[in-house]
Amino acid sequence: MASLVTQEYSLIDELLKEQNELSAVERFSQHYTDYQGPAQQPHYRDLLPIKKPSTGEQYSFEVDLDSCTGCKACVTACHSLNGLHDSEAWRDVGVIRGAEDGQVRQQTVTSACHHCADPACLSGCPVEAYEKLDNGVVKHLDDQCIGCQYCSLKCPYDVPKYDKSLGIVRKCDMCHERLEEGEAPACVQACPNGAISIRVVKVDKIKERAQASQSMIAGAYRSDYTLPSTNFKSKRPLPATMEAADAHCLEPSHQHTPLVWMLTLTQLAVGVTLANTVLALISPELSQLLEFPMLIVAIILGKIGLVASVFHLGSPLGAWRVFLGLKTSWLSREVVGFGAWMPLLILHTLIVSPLAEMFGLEGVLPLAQIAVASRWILLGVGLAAVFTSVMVYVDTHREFWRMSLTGSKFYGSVLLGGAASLASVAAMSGHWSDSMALIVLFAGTLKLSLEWKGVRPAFDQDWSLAKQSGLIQWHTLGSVLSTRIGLLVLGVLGITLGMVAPLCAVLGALIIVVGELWERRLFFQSVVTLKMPGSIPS
Amino acid sequence: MKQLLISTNFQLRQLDGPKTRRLVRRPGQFGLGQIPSEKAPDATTTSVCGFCSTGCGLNVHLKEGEAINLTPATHYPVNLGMACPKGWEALTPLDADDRATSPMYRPQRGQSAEAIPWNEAAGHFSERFQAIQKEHGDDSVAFISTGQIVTEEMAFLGALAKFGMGIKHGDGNTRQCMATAVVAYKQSFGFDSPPYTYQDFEESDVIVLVGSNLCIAHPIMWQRVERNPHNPEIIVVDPRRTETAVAATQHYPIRPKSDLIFFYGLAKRLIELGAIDQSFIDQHTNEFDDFANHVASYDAARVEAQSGITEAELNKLAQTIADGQRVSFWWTMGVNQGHEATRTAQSIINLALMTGNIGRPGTGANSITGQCNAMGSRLFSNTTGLLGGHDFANQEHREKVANILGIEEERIPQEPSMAYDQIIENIHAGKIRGLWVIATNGAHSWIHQDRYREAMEKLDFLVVQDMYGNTETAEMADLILPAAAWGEKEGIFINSERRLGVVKKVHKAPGQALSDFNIFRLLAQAWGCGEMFAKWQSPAAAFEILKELSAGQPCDITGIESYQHLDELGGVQWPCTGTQASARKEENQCRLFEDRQFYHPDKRAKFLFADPLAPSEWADEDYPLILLTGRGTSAQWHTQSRTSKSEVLKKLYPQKAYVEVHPEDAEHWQLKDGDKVIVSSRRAEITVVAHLTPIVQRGQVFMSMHYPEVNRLTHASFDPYSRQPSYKCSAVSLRKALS
Repeated sequence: MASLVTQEYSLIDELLKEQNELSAVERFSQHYTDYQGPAQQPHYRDLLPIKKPSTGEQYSFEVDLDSCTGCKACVTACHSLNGLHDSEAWRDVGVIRGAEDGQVRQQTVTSACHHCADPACLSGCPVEAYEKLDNGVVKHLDDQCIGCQYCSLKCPYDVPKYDKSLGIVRKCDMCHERLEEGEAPACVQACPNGAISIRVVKVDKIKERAQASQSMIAGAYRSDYTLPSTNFKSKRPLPATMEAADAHCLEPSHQHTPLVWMLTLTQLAVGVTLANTVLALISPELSQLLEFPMLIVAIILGKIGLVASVFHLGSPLGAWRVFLGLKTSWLSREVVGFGAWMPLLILHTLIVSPLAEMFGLEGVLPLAQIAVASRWILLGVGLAAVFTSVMVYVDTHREFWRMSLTGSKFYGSVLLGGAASLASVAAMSGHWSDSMALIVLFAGTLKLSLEWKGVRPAFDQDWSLAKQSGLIQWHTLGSVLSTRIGLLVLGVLGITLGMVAPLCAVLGALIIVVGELWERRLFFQSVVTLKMPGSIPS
Repeated sequence: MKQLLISTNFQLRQLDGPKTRRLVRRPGQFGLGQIPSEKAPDATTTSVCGFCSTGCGLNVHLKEGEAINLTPATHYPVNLGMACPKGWEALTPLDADDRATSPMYRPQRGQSAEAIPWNEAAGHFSERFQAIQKEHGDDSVAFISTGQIVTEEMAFLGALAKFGMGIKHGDGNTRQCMATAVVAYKQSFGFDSPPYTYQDFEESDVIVLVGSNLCIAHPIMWQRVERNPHNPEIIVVDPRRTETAVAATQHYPIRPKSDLIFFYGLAKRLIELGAIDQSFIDQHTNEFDDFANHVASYDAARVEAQSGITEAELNKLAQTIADGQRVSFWWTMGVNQGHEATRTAQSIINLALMTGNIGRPGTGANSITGQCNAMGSRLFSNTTGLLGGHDFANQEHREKVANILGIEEERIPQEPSMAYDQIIENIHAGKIRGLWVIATNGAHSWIHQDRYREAMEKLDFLVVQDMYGNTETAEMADLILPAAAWGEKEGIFINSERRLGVVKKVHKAPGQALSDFNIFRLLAQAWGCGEMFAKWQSPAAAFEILKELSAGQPCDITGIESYQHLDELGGVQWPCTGTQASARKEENQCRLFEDRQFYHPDKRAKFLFADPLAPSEWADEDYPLILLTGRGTSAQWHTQSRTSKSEVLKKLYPQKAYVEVHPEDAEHWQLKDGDKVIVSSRRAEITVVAHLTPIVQRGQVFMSMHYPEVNRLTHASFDPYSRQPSYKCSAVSLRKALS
C-alpha cells in the first residue's frame, strides 16, 4: 500500500500540472487568422440599410415580431460584444399575452433604446449629457453624466440604467460606431432569426405612427410623448388588450432616500417661511418674536435637505453644470430654484436677526421695509422652487406622479410644515394660542385626505396604473402606509397637546416631520415605472 | 494647468474621458468585427458548447491561451454564427466563486465538509466502496453518470466502474431525457439511430413538432426552421400555447397524455386518405397490416373525446401531412417523459414510415436530444448498452470489447444495468449501499424528489463528483470530488444530429479541481486496477479506443482521424468510415436510411403499437389539476447549477418558482396574479407565486422544472420499456397562501 501512496502522489502532481496547461492554440490550427472584415457580415447584410440617413431621416430599430421567439440571445450578445458589467445589457425581452375571440395570443418582445425623435432623457437631463446625433442615435455622454438618474425617470421605456460602480447611467447607442463601419449592432448580429434590423426612417413617419395616442405595442406608453423610432411589425395584428406578463407586478419601486429627505425638508422649510409671512400679516407683534427662531428652523431643515440631495448623485463633481439644462429640464430648474432660495433665506434671516440690530444697520437702511420685501420674495421664490419640484415628477408622465397627486402632496407638506413650525415655536416661546392647534389639525386632515386619493384606486374594479399604485401601498407597503398615517395622527395630537405642555408641541412637530418623510417614501416606492413589457416577475 | 482644466473637469461638455473610454470598441481581427477594446484576443479557437444537445460551435477568444470572451462560430455547420443566451454565457459559470476547489470529506452527515488532499479522497473512495462491496457484494455499489461530460470520460467511467471496480449497476441522467427515444429507435429501426441532419429543418415543407418548445429549448434549431425557404406548414402538438405554438402555423393543444390515441387516430385518417406509401411499406417495413388493424378503432369521435381535438381539426392535420412532399416529425420531452412514452414515440415513427417520410431530405422521425452529450452517453456510457452501441447479452460483443480493451471477458457483465429508478428503489430496499454520482444533480431533478433524498440519506457512502460542491446532491454527499468543467478539458460531444464535435481546454480549472478523466485515472490507481486502464492515458488516447469499439457498428467513427481532423471539418456525423468525412467536406451533412436499409437483421423497420394505458395518477376530487413541467426560459439549464452563476442570465428568468394558472381556473381558486399559492400533491406541498396566463389550458397548471422545489410534487411513474420518468402528469391542488 505504501508504494501505492507514493505512486499516487506522483500521479496527482502530474495530473494537477497537466490540468493547468492550456494548449488549444498550439494544438489546433487557427481559423480566421488572415480573415478580412467581420465573418458574420453575410448574415446581417440584409438587416442594415443601404444608405445613411439624410436630413429629416434617422436610424431606427425594426423588430419583426413574427420572428422574435423569445430566445434572448440579443440580450447576452449586447452584454458580451459591448463589454458591459455583470448583469448589464441594453436590450431586454418581455412578453405580452391575451386572448381574443377565444384565441390565445402570446408574443415575446425584444426592445432596446428607441432612439426617440423627441427623447425625454435628453430634455430631462440637467447637464446635457445626451446628444441626438445627426443620424438619429440618442447618445449618452458617460463623462458628462452626474448620475442623477432623472433620465431613467423621464424615459417612458425605462431605458437608461444606473450603474452604481461607475456612478452614472449607461444606455444603448445602437452600436453606431459599428454602423459607421457597415457592421451590425450586437443584437442584430446575434438574433438567430434575423428579427432585429436597422432601418432608415423619416422623422415624419415616426410622428405619423405616434398620432392618436398610439403606442408602439401593447403595454408600452403612448408614443406621442417621446416619438420613439422603433417599429414593431407583425403579419398577425396583436390585440391592444394584450397585457405584459409583469403588468400586475406589485413590487415597490426604488426608494431614493436622499430625494425623500431633500423634497420633504425643503418643502417643510418653505412652509416655515409661509407661516412667517402669514404671521407678519395678521400679527406683526408675534411675528417679531417668532420669526427669527422659525427662520433658524427653516435654515436647518433646508440645509439638511439640500445637502441630502447631493448624496443622490453618482458623480457629484460635475454637478456645477446643472444650469445647462435650464431650457428644457425641470430638474435643472429645481436645482437653480433652490440654489437661489437658500441664499435668500439666509439673507432674509440676517435682515430680521438681532445681528442687524447689533450692527446698527437699522439706522442706515430701511430694514423694516426691506424685511417685508425680502419676506415676500423669499416666499415667492420658495413656492416657485417647490413648483419646480412638483414639475420634476409631473413631467415624467407617471400616473401616480400626476399633477393633482404630486402638487397636493408637495404643497400639502408646505402647509403642514408652516402650521407645525408655527405651533411648536409658539408653544416653546410661550405664545401658544388654540387656533394654532386648529390650523395644524386642518392642514393634517387636508393632507391625509389628499394622500388617500392615491390609495383609494386600490379598490377599483378595473385594473389601471392608479389601482396598481394603490395596491402597492395597500398591499405590498401596508406597514409603511399605516406607519405614515399613525405618525401624522400622533404628530397632530402632540401639537394639540401643546396647550398643556409646550414640549409636546415640539415633539409633535418632529413626529410630523418623520411622518412626512414616510409619506415621501411611499411617493417614490408606489409609483409604477413606465417601461416596455417585461417577463414573469420574480 | 490650463490644458488640464480644459481636458478634465471644466469643459462644459465632456465628450471623452475615462468612463467613455471603457466602452470603446475596436476591430477585433480574426473575423470578429468590432469588439470591446478591453477584451481584444490574440487568438481564437472553436469549441462545442457544453449545455444542450444542439451542439453549437463557439468561437472562443483567447489571450495568452486563456479564454476571455466568446462569440458563436460563424462557419460551424450547426449554428451558423448564432447561439442562445446560455452559449453566449458559457464561460461565466467557470469563474463562479463557489467552484469546488478541493476534495471535501464530511465526517458526519449534516455537518459541513472539510477540505482534504486528493490522496486521502482517493483513499476514502476506494476503502469505503470496497468495504461495502466486501460486506454486501459487488452489486451493493452503483453509479449515476451523466450526459454532461465528454464521451471519452463517460466511456472511461463506464469501463472503470463495471470492468475495474466490479460495479454492476450504473445509469445516467440521460434516463430522464433520452431513454425513450433510444428504446423506440432500437425497437423500430434495430439501432438507436436518430436519422436526421439539421439541414432537414430547412428542407421540409411540413414540420411537425410534438411535445417540443423548440423556440425556447433549442433556439438554434428553431433558427433552422426560420431559414426554411419553402414556406413550410409548421405544426405544433402541445397542451400549452408555447412560444413555438405561437410561431407555428397550426397548433393542436391536445390534453396531456392523449398522444397515443391522437396519433393512432391520425394514422387511421391518413390511411383513409390513402396518404400512405405502400411500396415503401411493402419493401422496407414489417407489421404494417397489424398496425392498420390496430388503429382502425381510433375514429375521430374517440380522438376528440380523449384529446379535445375535433374531427375537422384532425382532418386538417391529416390533410396537411398528406399534401406534404417532405414531412419531418420531431419530438422532445413532451413525448419522452410519459408513462407510455416508447409507444408514443413509435406512433410518431410509424407516421413517418407509413407515409414514406424517411431517408429523404426534409423528412424523418426525429428525436431531439437534451444534453450536450446525451448522444455520446447513448453509445458509450456502458450502462444500458455495452460500449460502442453493443449489447451486454451478446457474447460476440463482449468478446470484441474485451479484446479491444485488453481485459478478461469475464469482467464484462452479461446483462445491462438496472435503470435509474431501480437503483433508487434498491437503495431503499437496502441492497445498494454505496453510490457514486458524476456531474448530475438528482436531489433536484429526479422525480418525487423527497423519496430520492430519503434514499441518499440511507446510503452508507455517497460520493458526488461535480464542478460545484454545493449542488443539492453534493450537499448530501460524504465525499465531494472537485471536477474541472467544460472548457477546462478536452474531448468529444455528440449532438442531436449525431455530429461529433471537439471540446477544448481554454480555461484553467480552479484550485485542485481535475478533469473527470483524470479523476478516473486517479481512482483507478487508488482502487488497484490502474494497470487495466493503462491505455487510457489521455482523452485523445481514449478517443482511439472509442473509434476501435465503434468499428463495424452503425455508429462507426473509424473514419475520423483525430481531434484536429474533426476541428478542421467542423464536426462530423456518424457513421463515418474510411474517407467519408473528407468526401462530405462541402456540405458536411449525413442523413441515415437514404438507402432504405434499417438495422434489423432483415433490414426492415418495424411498426410497433399498443393499446393506450391510463396514467397511474390523474386529476380527481382532491387533486383536480394536472401539473405539467418543462423548460422555463432559454436562459435556464436544468438544475441551474451553472446558469444561476451568470448575472446576465439571471436577469432573463424569474428568480422564484411560479405556477402558470389559467385565469378562469384562478377565479375558481380565488387567486390573483402574483399571489402566493400553495401547490400540493400527494407527495408534498410547496409555496410559489401564481402567474395567471391563458397559455395553459383550464384544468392544467405548468411549472418550470428549474426550481428545486418543483420535483417534490411530481408523481413517479415510468415508461415500462424505457424506464423514463413521466414528469408531465401529476395531480395537484391549489390554495391561496396566507401571505
